[in-house]
Amino acid sequence: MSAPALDAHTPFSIDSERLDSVRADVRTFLRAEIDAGTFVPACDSWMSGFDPEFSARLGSRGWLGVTIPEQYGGHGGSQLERVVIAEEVLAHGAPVAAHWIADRQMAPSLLNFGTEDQRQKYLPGIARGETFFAIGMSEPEAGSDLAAVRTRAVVDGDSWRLNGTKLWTTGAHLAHAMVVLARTDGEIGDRQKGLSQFVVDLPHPSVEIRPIHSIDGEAHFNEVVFHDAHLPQSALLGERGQGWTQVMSELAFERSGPERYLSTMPLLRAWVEELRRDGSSEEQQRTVGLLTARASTLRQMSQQVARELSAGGHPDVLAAMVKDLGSTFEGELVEQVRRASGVEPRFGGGRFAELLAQGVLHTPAFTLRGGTNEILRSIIGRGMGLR
Amino acid sequence: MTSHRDDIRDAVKQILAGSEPTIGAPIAHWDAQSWTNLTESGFADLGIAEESGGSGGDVTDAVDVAATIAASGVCLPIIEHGLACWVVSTTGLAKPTGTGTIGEDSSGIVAEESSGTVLLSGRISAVPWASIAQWLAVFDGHSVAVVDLAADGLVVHPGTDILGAPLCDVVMTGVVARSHAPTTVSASQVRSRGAALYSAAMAGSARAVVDATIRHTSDRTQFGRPLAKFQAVQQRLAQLASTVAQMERAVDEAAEALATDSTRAAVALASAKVVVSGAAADVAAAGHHLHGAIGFTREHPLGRYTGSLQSWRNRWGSADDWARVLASQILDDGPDLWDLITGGSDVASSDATSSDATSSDATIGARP
Repeated sequence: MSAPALDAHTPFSIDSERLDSVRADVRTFLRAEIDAGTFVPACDSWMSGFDPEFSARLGSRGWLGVTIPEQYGGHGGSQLERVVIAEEVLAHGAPVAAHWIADRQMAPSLLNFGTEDQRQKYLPGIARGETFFAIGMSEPEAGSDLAAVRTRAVVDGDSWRLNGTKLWTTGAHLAHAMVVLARTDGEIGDRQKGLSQFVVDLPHPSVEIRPIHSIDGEAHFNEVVFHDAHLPQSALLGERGQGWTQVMSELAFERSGPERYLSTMPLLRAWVEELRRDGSSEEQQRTVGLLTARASTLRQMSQQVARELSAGGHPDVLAAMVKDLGSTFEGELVEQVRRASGVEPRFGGGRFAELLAQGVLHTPAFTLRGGTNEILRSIIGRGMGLR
Repeated sequence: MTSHRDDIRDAVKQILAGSEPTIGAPIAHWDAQSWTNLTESGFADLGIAEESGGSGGDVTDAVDVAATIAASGVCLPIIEHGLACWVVSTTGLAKPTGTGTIGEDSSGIVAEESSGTVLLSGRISAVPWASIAQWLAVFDGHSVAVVDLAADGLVVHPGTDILGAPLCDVVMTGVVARSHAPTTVSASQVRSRGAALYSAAMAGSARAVVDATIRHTSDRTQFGRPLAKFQAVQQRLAQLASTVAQMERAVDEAAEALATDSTRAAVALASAKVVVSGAAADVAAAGHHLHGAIGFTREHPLGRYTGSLQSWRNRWGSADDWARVLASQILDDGPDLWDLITGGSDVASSDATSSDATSSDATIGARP
């Protein structure tokens, strides 16, 4: 494993002035973009706000691939700098879905497990905001029980053949590549053993991508079917049979990031703007204060995970706590703002009503994606020595 | 810094181990011996400058002492005594001997100056520990009077909180103040410090609830296996642990921000009291539920911790009170909500620890 992605040698607080200045720059940029009308702040924009041009603009300013070493087109910055940028784009509801998975997960994954060729091939594009990734983990029979994956890759001469179906694959119809967890060895009953990861370039003649229309009226998710898809030998990511370990090593990043408590922050900010303009009742003030306090504390917890990750630690339990508390908070925020505002969530009724509608429609996903909260609690329980 | 804080916590634990603590709830009698040990070793007035008669250190030390005592289940007047000594220290008056206390709201007291002495009359409600303390600090937002609790004209109407700790009404009729002087400290500063100390104490009690609950569910066997092996029990226990981790994070952030006088202090402190007071009842409920009926008995130590959580939730402002303080910082032409949370460079200075002009004075009102 290489150190750069984990940023093991950069203490968290060493450069808070630099972090402040990055934050201020990103904020200025985002405000200008909003003023120019290039995007309208939205809830859950890291999942549904797909805008390649916006991603490229972030990339050209050096705000993607922050932790990727310069030799691969990145910026050799700290994990904490990445967190600051992520916090700002999320709180402003910016359309970051196109590059989100590539920047958050694939960059560290390629740095940790990828071959030199794979790094050269994908990382510069990720840093420019031009190469987008999807992640194929869940399957029709493997949702929360990820070790039950049936997608199988078999060796065929000097290449691989892939068969199976992935489900809930966000952005696969728009991504340039997809990382797939598949069984290469053993049987389904072997569970975590015998799994491997592959990078599949898209589009691919034998990969069928069908949209899944969700209750928000959109189609961010896909069903991805591999019809005996031929993959070059070089598609294997990391070590054969080590897929489970590789996937798990990324989870602390995935689970504790600011997107686990900030998905509905644009709604709260928009409501506060309304209250500042129109005045507020005591009950509304109370709600604003309660939500602000929780968001502020969740941010402290999330940053604590980032600090521990940066120091080379493995805060899996704390990361699971952040996601359990944070994703619950995202939904409760919507409910409390709806109740205290008295506004009907709808489309075409103004920006605030629309944000509220987005929040209501997206809430069911918050506590499911990235591992259900029940799974997270069992991880916490194991960490407490209960099993 | 971390090791210094660990040292303080370890030292307090050691002192408390020096005498047999009472357990169970409600409290039958308070732990006078522990209090004597603690005061004699200088841990009762940490966070007060040495030149003012304290033991030095900053508010972080006082917070750690309060949290450690609460987590041990020993019931002591540490917070009120510390606050009273600190308020007196800001006037330049000498620190009175013996145990002091302070009420949250002294607005019902009228002071009259007559030939060099100050006479106090009126009522202060719900003063913790007034029945065992020797002196009372009366703070009116501008000055501090020290009153002997055994003085002529002063009556302590005894009572207790639901934990059984003294919570008394103090009524004064022309009581001569032992000393009296103006202070530069503001009402919001006193409230902030009180809220920080009680937040820390509640986080300490909450941690003890988690520890006791893990022990109980691991030891207690039902249906042929320990309770902790049941998924439903594990899920609730995990949620309890997450909630308490959140409380502790909030308290740490508040203590560090207060100690460094950072511009984040106002937000961090209010957030801590909102998060801690807001979750206190849930923590107590989960602890009791997972202990079953066993935790409901007088002899069981759980009652100390859950009783503390329930008794202390509203001390120095409830979750709702502090939520409104936070909201007013945002809604009354303050910085954007997100700016406030991140404490970024464009945050307007809103430091409750050094400014009396924050709106917290207006919103945390006098209690009935």
